[in-house]
Amino acid sequence: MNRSDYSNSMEDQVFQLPSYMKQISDTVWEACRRVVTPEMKGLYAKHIMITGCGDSYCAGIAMKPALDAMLTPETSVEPVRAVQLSRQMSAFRLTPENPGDVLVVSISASGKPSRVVEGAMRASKCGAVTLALTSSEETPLAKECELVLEVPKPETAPVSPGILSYSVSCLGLCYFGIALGLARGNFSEEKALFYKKSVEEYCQSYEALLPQMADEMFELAKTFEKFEYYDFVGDCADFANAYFGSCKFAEAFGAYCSYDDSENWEHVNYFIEPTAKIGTVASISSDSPSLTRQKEMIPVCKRIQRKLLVLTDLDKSTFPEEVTVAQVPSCRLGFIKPIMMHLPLSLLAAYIAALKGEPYFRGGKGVWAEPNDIANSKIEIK
Amino acid sequence: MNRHDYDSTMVLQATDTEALMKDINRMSFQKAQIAASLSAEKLKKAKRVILSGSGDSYASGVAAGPAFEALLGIPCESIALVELTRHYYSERFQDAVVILNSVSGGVSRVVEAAKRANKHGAYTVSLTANDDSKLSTECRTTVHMELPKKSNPTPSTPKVIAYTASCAGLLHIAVYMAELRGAISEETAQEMREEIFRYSTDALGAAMDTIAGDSFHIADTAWKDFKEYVFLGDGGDLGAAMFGAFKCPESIGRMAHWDDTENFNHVNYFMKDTDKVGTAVVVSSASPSMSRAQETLRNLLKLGRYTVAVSDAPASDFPEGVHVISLPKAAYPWLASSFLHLPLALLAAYSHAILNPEFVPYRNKGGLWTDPGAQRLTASELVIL
Repeated sequence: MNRSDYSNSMEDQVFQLPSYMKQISDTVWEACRRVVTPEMKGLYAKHIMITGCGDSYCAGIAMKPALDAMLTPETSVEPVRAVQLSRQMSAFRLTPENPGDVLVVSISASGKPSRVVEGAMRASKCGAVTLALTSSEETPLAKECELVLEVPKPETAPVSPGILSYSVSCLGLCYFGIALGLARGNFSEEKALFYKKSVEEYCQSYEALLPQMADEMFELAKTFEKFEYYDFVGDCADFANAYFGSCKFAEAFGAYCSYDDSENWEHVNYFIEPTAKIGTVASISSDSPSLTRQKEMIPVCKRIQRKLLVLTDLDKSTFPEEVTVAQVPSCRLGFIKPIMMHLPLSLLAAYIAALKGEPYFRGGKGVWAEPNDIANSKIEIK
Repeated sequence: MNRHDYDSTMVLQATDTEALMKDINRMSFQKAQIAASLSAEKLKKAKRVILSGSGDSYASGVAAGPAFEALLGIPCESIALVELTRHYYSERFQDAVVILNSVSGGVSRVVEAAKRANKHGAYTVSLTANDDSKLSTECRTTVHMELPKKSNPTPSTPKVIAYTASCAGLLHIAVYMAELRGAISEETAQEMREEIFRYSTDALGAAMDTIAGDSFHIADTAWKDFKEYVFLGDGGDLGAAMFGAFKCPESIGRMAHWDDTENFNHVNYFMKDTDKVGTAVVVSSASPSMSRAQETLRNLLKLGRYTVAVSDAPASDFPEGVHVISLPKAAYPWLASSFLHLPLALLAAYSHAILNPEFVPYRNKGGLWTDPGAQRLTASELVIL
């Protein structure tokens, strides 16, 4: 079997990503600088909520540590499920004590899903400052928000799970955090540009590694395609990597996936059988505050005979031989890693789909022939 | 088939809710007992409440959390243990009441949480059945949860009544805090206490035969044969959905996925083998997400997926074709979430009992799963950040 015989549009997105990030870096940075002005309401927000659906929700989890690094201790950052923001969250949490105290960042490239639009409408009604991270000022989401952070919309095949768009959302959030920190005087312009340059270098560092990474993931796909279930594990930003991987597995080849953090996994999914049918994926970053707990699952996986793939920037020698390691570049600023760290899992999803001959999103056929209702769901402002 | 032939210890923890909760309420959750355990001064000063635990205990915080916000008007965060111990802002422990729920009180991570929260100035409360546990020793105070011995005759039974009691305990603490802080009157607080008691005992008891019958029928005719499961819910109902998901690996060893109703439509909606999955949607009658839950149920039917709805709303509120298990209507918008897990526990319990007449869950904690003393949970390295 030759990898090139299984080329596909998800793989294309992965290979485009380093150069695409380089191409759009200045554009996104300038967009962030334009939004973040001394007059911006929400400049000194005490609480920032980041919301979105699916990948976009995941981007908020992935970039929370980056925003924390730029904005704490004055500001806390909270990723929020779209339906939680729009329907469930107590109104007082969205209502600022002082104008600008609460900033809600809503992410959607298309800006169309009802729930994210509804969330922005509700947040505005409650008095929060709203910012849309979206592809155009004309999207429905942008029209409901006070501020718009316009980011490029990648050109991809018409029906292909989003990989570029996820990294663009992560980049937008990261640069927004840097721009906000800079405008507040948390650090100098020089430091801000150092952060930006670090992001650019980190994204670029994948370019030379991708062919080997793709070969490794293609080989692994031959084993992983045989599993019936997939179990993803990670904490905090590592959870974002794991969760994003599970989303791509579902979109790409209709996989049945579960996900959890490293502690809950030991309490619950540990008991699943038969273990031979489960592919387990753990994202373990070298700088994770829960690194000790994440590593403790490795001997447990061995004992219960789980096939384990570890996504990590740690050296392969850190792990026992029976563990398959998808190694990503290390980074001097750990909090920017999630922008790119998902790439091995995106490739793995892409190759499993190609090996199975499974069309993305089930090919829009059969019970999936009708578009789903995410853009037509009824909007209610509670 | 006679469902009583399948009355495993897991089943009985759900079907005997009325009697068990009467005992638990009497022994643990009287106002005087809770008041004696908690510092009025600390509760009055609190600016936020944090609920945490692992597995079921985490889910109970998700289920009961909205009651704290609704009654107290201050933020309440339900946080996974590893998030709280290793990733959460240290500054936010100051002026926080941190309630750590663990029946055994011996899991490393929950002890670590108490140590970290104490270090950074929180008022730590353990909600546990074991007053001599490491957790209890570590926390500033303990709200004791007395679980009748008959509720868990073998240690290897997946917990149901402990979860129900945890949810009820958290609700009672929320009511007590709200009364103490003047957010609700003494009279209202007493009405709420009585309603939590009435709902968890008499109301559920009166409906249990129907709930158990419906659950058994669904388990026997379909649920037990699915290879995997999906549980959906929003807000407090997500807690019940998580609990339902957790019972699947524990009892029948099968995988379960949980999510909210919106994210489902973006991701798991595309899952391929629709005939192999049982899907349950949990929605309180008063949920602000009711319309999205109803849309999601219609989407599930279009996908041809076998779908169960669990609610305190009547079956007539849901699309035809959905298998509805109804609980009595709850009097407060935050109440039902803490009890909607019962049919989900029964679906797992009956499936397990039908498939496995020896009633041995948790892979019998043998073979590959041999782990004396649950070392993977109790001997995990403590790191206090």
